[in-house]
Amino acid sequence: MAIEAAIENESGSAYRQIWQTGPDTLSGKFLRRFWTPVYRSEDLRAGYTAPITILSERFTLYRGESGVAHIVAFRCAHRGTQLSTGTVEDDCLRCIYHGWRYAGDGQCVEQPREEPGGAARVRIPAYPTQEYLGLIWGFFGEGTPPLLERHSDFEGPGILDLEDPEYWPCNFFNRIDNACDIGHVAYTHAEALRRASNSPVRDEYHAATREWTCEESDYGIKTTITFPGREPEYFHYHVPLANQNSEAASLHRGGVDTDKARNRRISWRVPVDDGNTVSFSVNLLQMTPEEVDAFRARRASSTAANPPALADAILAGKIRERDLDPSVPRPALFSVEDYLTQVGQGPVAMRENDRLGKVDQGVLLLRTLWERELRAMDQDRPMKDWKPKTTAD
Amino acid sequence: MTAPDGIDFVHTGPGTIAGDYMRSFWHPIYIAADLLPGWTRPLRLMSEDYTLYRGESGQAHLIGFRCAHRGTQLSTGWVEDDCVRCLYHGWKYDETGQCVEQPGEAQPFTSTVKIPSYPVQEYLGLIFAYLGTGDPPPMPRYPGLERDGVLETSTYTRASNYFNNIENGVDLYHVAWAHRDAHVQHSLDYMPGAMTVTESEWGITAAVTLRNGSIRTNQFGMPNVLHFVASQGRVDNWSEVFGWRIPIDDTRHVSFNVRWRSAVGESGVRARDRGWDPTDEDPERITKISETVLRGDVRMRDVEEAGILVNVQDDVTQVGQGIYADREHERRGQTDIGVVLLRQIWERELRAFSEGRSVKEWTFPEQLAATSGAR
Repeated sequence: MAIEAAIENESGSAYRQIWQTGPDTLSGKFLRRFWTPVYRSEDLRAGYTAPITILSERFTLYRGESGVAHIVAFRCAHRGTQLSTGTVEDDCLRCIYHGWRYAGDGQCVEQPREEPGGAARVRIPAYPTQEYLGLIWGFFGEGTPPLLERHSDFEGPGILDLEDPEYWPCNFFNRIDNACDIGHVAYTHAEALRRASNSPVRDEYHAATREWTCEESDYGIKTTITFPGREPEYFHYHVPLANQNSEAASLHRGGVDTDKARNRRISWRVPVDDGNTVSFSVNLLQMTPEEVDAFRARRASSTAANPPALADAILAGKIRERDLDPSVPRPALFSVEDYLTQVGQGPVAMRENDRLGKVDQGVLLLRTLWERELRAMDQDRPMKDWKPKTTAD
Repeated sequence: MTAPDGIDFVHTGPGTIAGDYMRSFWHPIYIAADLLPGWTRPLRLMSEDYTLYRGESGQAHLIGFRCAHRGTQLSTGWVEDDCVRCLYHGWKYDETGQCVEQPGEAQPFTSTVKIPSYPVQEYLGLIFAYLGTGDPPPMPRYPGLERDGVLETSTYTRASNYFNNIENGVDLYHVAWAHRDAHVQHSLDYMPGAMTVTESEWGITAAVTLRNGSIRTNQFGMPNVLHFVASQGRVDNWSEVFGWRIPIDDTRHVSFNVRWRSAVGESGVRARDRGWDPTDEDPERITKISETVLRGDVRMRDVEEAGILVNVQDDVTQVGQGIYADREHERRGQTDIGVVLLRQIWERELRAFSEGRSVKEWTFPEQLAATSGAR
């Protein structure tokens, strides 16, 4: 679904392009130069299909009986029905309508009851896939795909933990804008932090609001927050879609435990279309099995609280966040709060109306970086060759 | 959607003629008792979004929908004194929309940041706002509603353009049929051709003589107010009703209603003792029943919710016209003289307004009687 109204409102703005995701848009072409996570591996069993929408295009994802995942076009070439309703046979997909059968590379290999030889002339689009960090990745660009970026921070010892994919009704840029924005923590998360009554985190973040820096790095943007009397925290933005929070635990536990974090978290904010984003979050848990169980139990109770539904009720003016029951888990409150501000900006934030200040240095850097790269791409000039973040970064 | 000669009175978004004209009046926007100190509400009116809040002082305020900083929805923030603080980065605005704090900034630039704000007044248990530009006109007063009595407020939302409902208000004849199964059956006794409509100082006076010789009179106030007397068929059980129809956007509208009852006499005492329970006219229930009728799941005659039957009937007929009544293909007759006069007045006023000529100043006079026709 394209957001037509927003395009009208933003006409003439330099920010017009950065949030668009379709195949014919500048930003959409930029995003298609990278591998994109599209699905959680464990959610796709062998022999199953899934209709997916990624970057404003629809595809058919399926896992062959061999266990290999494939992405092909959304529709059968014959009379256009939705291929995901068909059957997986070996590593092929057979259409439910008239039984045309396609291999994982999109080649039609069977047309029952048709003259032999016809199938060879029919091919639907297919896209390279890989699986990494518990996610299925697709490449939707032209030409040979680049190497899939590795994340050494998540390849070390520990338990790889995949969160449920999280669908929010806002543009992906509302989400990644937030990642380089330390100034929001003291306000957006005030209620969650207030409820952690023994938490020094809010005061620390208040104090740190002016004590942080962000700089462009080989992989994107590195944000450093300095706290008096304890180690700094870092936020990493990886071009184009990932936010990594090296000490997520200190915030997401509501500051109850401000020990050095024992998990690492990275989230990819993947455009479904211009008005919707799915987040795939991966944790590397460096904990005892008991702690892992407790971590997962806390998260399950947060998911059960249904943060998007709570936030929608607040956005509609039916309830206030401060009146939420004390039993709502704190991680759910963090999620509610981020949803309120990011979905609350509208499906696409009206960036041309923004009044940016010093607190927005990260947001400004992010947008400048994107505009620089989009402009270079548009004018066929060299673009930056982004490197994976190393554990030392 | 528009009148035959092209005057458009159904679209009211910013920059439309009808929208600008509507914005030159005060409108009720919320029920005062439903907004507690320290609370905010996101509001949509005439296709624009606003933040309504009541400061800790008890004063209600109306300001822009989004924070000027990075545009998040201000209603999710905090009320502090008579200010609102944004949830995202803590920018704080006073009731004039002036930014007064930017906590993350070492060198704040608050004086250069101001979001829109709108005059607000409370009257008759409703919060009224002026959404236009320039100085607001005087707030209309209704002396009859300021008398001793019991004042009840209610509201409903209807899934149609507001003009469907405005036209319904000057259409006396619909009462005989749309409400034939309700407790206003006496209104069935219309004499053919016994209806008159005349332009008044306030808008339109529509009157009809019933077979019993009595007269039912509705008063319509420009641009969007209906005033009538409800009697439930009995002279001793009457109330004065005012209803304002305000577009939420072009496809939905909200009505705010005030019902005044005398606090004396048998029915007055009953009303006073009973108190007012807004769930008597549960708007969501009205919509739900109306939808089942429009879907064909139940018949109008099978709806037995006596308390809200009239509202359901109005909802069914007005939403049943479509979001926008098809005014190009309608076949008007003698009974539609009220609708015709209404459109003539609206077209005249909108044309004058759009050409910068003076428009009529509508006033509610001391004496402007509505009558129920009950005997």
